[in-house]
Amino acid sequence: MATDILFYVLAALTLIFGALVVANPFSRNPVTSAMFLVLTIISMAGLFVLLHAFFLAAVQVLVYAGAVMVLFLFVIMLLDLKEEERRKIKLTGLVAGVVSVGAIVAIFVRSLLATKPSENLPAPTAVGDTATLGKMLFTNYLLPFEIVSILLLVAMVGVILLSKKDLK
Amino acid sequence: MLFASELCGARFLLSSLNWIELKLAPLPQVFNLCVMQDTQLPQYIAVLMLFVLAVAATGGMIVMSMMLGKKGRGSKIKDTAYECGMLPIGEGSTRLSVKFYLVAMLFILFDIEVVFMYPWAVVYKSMLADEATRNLILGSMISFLGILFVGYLYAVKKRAFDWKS
Amino acid sequence: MIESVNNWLNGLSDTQSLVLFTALKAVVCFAIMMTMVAYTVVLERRLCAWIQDRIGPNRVGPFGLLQPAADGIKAFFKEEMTPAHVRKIFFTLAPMIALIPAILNLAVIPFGSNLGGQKMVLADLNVGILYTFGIVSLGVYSIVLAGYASNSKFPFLGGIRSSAQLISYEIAMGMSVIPIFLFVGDLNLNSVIQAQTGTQLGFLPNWFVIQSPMTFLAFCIFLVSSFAETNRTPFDLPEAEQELAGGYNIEYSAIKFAMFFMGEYANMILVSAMMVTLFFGGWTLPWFGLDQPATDLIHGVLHIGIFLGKVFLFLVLFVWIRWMWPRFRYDQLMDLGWRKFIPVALANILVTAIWLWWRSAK
Repeated sequence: MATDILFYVLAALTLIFGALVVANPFSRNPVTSAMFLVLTIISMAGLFVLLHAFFLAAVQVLVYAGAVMVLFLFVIMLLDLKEEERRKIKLTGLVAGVVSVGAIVAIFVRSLLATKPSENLPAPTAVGDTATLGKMLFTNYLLPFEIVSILLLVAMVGVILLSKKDLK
Repeated sequence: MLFASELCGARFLLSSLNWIELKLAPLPQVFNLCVMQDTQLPQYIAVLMLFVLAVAATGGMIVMSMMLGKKGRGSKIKDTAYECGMLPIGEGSTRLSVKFYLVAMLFILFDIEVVFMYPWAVVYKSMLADEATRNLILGSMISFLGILFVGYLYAVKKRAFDWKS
Repeated sequence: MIESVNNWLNGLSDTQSLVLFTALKAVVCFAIMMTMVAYTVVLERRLCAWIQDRIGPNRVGPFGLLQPAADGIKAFFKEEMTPAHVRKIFFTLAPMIALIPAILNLAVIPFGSNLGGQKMVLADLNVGILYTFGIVSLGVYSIVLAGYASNSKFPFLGGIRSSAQLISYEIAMGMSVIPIFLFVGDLNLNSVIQAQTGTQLGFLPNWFVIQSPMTFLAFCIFLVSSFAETNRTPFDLPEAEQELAGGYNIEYSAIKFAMFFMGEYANMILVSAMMVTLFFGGWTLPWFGLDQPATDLIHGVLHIGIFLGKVFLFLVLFVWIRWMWPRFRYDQLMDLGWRKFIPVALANILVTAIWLWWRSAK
């Protein structure tokens, strides 16, 4: 199936780009990492499309690739980050990293083994459809929706307070 | 003006707390309209094709210009940054004003707000037609926008959008 | 010959014919858009010459119509200078990213009803408008990266300033169209066109621009924001020659320099197409039954013609305003976007919502 091939291609791209964000052998430039993160997000949007989550795919590109990553770039330029020098990895850091990654992998493997894929899964419904999503959001999930507005308000006040501290 | 909108927001938030009842009530008729969107996925073939076309065309232009373009001789002056004919002083990139960070952050917040408005706009008319959800759909967005408008007014008051100074 | 092609086409499976026709449409659309980009440049130069009482380019070909070909050849053969201080990979990527979003956005524009059995839209996406905004929001990387890669003061300042401008007006643009979708109830752009068919008062088109005061206000905000989004005068701060010596593209030369301009003009065409689709009825005209999908070839071609004609009028408007208006200051630009458009757009949404709520009351 063409969609299967596309899934594997996009999944591979997501993983490769994601790896290049944190460990790029060719460049230690933070801007390069940020751009690879944009590519990761866009390939993930492709995966959402394959899952029929069209609204989510569009929003993924709009909010994450188009807004959040611009902020990241601005912050990199705000701090005027230069290419990071290669530094020696400390032993404690190494141990902590290996342990935490191992723990996460263990959880993933366990949960994967715990789920038994059944043959007769229910046919996927069009949850990615904007109208369905809207119906759910404004009936069943209305309170979370309203709480989001408070969350956004808090973020707004916080960012203004932090960046305008020296002004009156 | 400000107080009115705030009051409206609070009142509608309270009225929208009726959501628990709604959750227990049977889902409105419109839910049966969900159709499996098999016709949508093939449409994205065009997006994929255009992407390949776009990358090929833009990459092709650059490669063609590399091959066809005149090979000029480099010189030290040619390789310096352009600063209106003066020799460049200091580094190319300077540190940014924190204001750009502020704008980008506020942009994300408003972007999320706008994203929530699209599904609302889509279901608005059909939920208006239903007597049970009529006031709820209007009230939920008024309270959402009311709360965020408070944040917006705070930003204006704190001169977050003031670029004159 | 024709018969054998016909037989071959009929023998294809649904998927095969979808892929074939989509590829065909994509290539043709791309070619038409690039031609339009080339001739918008000529239009701009001739029109501005006319406004300034000059003659303008009229030497290459009849009426200067071959000017874009000459310009293109020149751009390819020029020396491509990549100064030593730039960050080379991003320096090459930035002009590419200037064009790619514009091409990708072609996908959702309904440029005609149908031609034969084919719908005249590349991808009839249900999330049409969100797709457009998503892709448009990626355009900011071209400017940020160009400024960053140039590693030089003027491009850097220009790049940052204009990216802040782009993101500011994206909000106003996104909010301004919500009333339209409150009326339509669907994000698909074909549904938007369908909602604009027919006439009002017997003869006036039922287009959103004159359907109600709310949608007219939406159009005004969208129009001004689209000038800011495409970096056109009076919001052409990214290219403020007098202040930044040119902005983010100073260090570029040859085709890379040209690609930024191709991107700008392509974006202009696309934003015009969006305005035509959202507010001016797309490929429809309310008279002579031209607002219904075509059943024969002639009407199909006519619809494409109507669409292109409307887009052309908007392009003239873009050019006209550029040569008539001075540039805004940066603080005025940010003030207009954040302090004026956002509250007005929000109020517009609420008024539309309340009006629809009141109207639907039994």
